[in-house]
Amino acid sequence: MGSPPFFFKWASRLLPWFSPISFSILIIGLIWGVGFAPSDYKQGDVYRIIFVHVPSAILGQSIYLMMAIFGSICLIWRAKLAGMFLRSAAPLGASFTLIALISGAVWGKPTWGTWWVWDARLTSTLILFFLYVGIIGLYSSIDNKQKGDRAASLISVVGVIIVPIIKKSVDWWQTLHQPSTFSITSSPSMTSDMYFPLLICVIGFYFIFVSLLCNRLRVEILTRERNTTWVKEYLNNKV
Amino acid sequence: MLEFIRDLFLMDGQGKYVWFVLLIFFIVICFNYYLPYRAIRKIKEENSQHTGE
Repeated sequence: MGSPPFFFKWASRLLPWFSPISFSILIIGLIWGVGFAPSDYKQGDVYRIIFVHVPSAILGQSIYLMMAIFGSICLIWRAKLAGMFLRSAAPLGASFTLIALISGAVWGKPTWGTWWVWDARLTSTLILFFLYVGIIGLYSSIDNKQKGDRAASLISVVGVIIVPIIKKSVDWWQTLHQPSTFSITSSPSMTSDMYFPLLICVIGFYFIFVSLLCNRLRVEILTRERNTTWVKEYLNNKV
Repeated sequence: MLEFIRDLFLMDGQGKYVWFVLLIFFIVICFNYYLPYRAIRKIKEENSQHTGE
């Protein structure tokens, strides 16, 4: 599984059916949430932003956590695929964190009366976004792929401290942001007809991430292994 | 049916916020889907140029 040619073939077979399934799950969740879930008694319909905001925020943090794990693998065992994962996952993590920040700002305007406050949850999420941007920038500035992988791994491992800070920010500091929607230790704070579409959206977002990641990894593998025999054979057969 | 669609679109004046977020989300996702396909197409084109020379 750690071999780039094996992963490439596996991902190429998986993608044609996995991407439509991912989109279907996401669309079902969004249609259910935006179109049919009941309105919130306090916020009205604007709460429906939750069906994009919460899954994006969860994914933004999960991707960083995954990057820290793969970063450790890259630093300890120098696995090639782990470095490729880091490079492919960083733009996706940045995208989902950006969606969480934008959707949060748009949600904040009608509920808090402002687009942005320097609140602990918002600020720590902004720092997470800057960490992603830093890793992307690092890869662009270092020509040597192995050195780039090691530097990005180091930032991923050190920067992972931001994930528990984001998670606990609403408990540790007094914030405008509401407490966590999902919790392992307590039951959901919303009714089942709001919670289930949200759960489907979260699953759909994870599926979309896997399919986007496989796509990016395929590009990364082709670029890095361009001079190998198997890539030359693949390109000559497929063109 | 038309009333349902109108209500869904307007959402008591809050529809602009919800639809804007959905629009941004789909733009970002489509962009992330498109970029790798473009990159693979570029690699294949470069390869075909090299093998054609």
